[in-house]
Amino acid sequence: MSASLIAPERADPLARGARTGVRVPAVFAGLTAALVVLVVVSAGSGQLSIPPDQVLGAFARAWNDGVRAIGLGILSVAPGAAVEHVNGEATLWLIRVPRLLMAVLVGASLAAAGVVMQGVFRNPLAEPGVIGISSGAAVGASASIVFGLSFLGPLTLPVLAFAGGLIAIVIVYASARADGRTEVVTLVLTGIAVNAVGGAAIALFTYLGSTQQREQIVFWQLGSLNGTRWDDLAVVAPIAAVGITACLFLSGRLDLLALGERQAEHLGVRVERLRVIAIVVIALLTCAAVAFCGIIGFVGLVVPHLMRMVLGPGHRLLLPASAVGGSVLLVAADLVARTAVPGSELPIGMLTALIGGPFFFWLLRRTRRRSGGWG
Amino acid sequence: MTVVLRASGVSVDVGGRRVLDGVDLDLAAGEMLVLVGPNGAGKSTLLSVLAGDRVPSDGTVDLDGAVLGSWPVAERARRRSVLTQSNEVSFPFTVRDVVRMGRAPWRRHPSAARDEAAVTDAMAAGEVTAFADRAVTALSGGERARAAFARSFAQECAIALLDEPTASLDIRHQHRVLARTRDRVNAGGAAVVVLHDLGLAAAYADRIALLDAGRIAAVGPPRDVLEPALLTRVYRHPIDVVEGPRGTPLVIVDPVAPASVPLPGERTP
Repeated sequence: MSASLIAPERADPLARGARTGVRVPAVFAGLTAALVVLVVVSAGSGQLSIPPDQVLGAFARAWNDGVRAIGLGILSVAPGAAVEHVNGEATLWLIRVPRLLMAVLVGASLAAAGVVMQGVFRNPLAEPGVIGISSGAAVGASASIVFGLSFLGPLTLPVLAFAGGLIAIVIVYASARADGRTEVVTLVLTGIAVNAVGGAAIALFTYLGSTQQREQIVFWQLGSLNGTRWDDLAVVAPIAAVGITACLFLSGRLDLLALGERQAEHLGVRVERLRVIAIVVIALLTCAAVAFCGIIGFVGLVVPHLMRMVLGPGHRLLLPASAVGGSVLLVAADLVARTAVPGSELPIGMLTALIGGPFFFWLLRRTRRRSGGWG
Repeated sequence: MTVVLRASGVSVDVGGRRVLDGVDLDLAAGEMLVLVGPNGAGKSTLLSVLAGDRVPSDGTVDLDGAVLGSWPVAERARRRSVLTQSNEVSFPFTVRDVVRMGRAPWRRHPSAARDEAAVTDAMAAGEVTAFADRAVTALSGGERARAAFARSFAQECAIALLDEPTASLDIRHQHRVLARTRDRVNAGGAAVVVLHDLGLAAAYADRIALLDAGRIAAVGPPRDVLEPALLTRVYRHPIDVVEGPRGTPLVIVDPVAPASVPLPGERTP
């Protein structure tokens, strides 16, 4: 008998606690509170420091303008403290807020994509970066830059990133599965191969590109939220919204898929269709993250795993919790990236890899120890 | 008697080898049909064809009077439950969660009102209530098999297809699983069960189908199929059948080295 993919969870009693009815609201409330606090702190942090009450005041005024514009002035709130610094409002609305919103969207997208990927591969180690989806998407994106492609206007880059990611995931999915599941070792080896080919293509584009294009490509490999504009958000937000909503619709069927593909079909799941939808959704979400921010690895691995330990493996809770958790992680990582070294900026992809790499290693070791091999 | 599941002329080729060859088999409502036979005789293949997992190379399967493939997947799941041999769950769901998954076909259906009762009954049938809150990945093989049985039992379908449901169970649970399945059949259901233990087959089956190299060697009531000469030939091992104290045939297997029975085509010294 081959051992189960994820072995007995030590967090089992915690999962039981999920049914007491206190844990679930507590986790969601905690995550949301953490996200709000981080957003306010991060919006006020940087070379130009804005105190939290002024940040909240600025948010309140923007909210009031918004609700009045759509004729719902009744929802307006107290305006709060004014931003004192002369450049404060501009810094907030032109630089920090779009960047924060991007961190929220990208974190949520990557974590949700990780959950769906682990569900459909039936393997807790599947992750967009690990198995090469991110580099596939980056190949598409860098091709669009180097060749100056713009046949779809501002959507060219995200569309090509999506195509690259989709091709990568189809290759991995087709080659790494056997008998309806994916062995850890096959998954990781396939990831190595796909990442190698993707890396070679990116290297080629770096070689072909101009200095400025090279710089852009290098940014991807490091991953950065620097320079996010509202225009970028206008592209990413709808993709992320559609993708995450689709994930939520898949969650019940992903639970059944944990029983096995045949078994899920015996329970009325159209497995073939579920797979196709899941793969497209994963590619969409990864592309939403990669298109403007580059390869930000391991978010889709670390966050779902932590959430699974706290909430149990049921996808109906795991998906929304991971999406919020991914946002929290990325907003926090971006805050560190911006403020750790004064006057300079760390690449956020480096930070997530710094945490995620060892975490992945630990997960691999644990999976191997519990299942008695690389199965 | 209403035929609920019918295989007509079913053949299956795997890698150029014919593993099922023109099998005809009917399952009637109120009947428990047990498939027996040596390794590689095609029992599991036949069951997977009946379940709709495998499309036969030749022949058809009808479910409730219509071609199996014409039923939507969701509708099939409300008419027949399937218990496969291996039941590996890839994430640490609790036993209760897994059993509850058996109710998935009944979502947005009037029978959903029975969900909780069905889960409770099924956990009692598989005797998994004591460890209902443990992760299914943390259980022993036998406990996991019982959880899988409970999940298929919770589905509450008129037709149950079970592939070696007793394989990793102790004696108590072997009988418990078959007795609960028998209860369902007596209440008007129907079941096809693959078993290795001829004694269990004799005790619970209405009819036994003995498979040999992809064909049905015999089918009928246990008393007719469990013939010493037939079993000895099909299993290539000396097998005796005697009248048991409670009227069911008892299968006696001699501990004789299999080499003493000539293989087909092998020359007798």
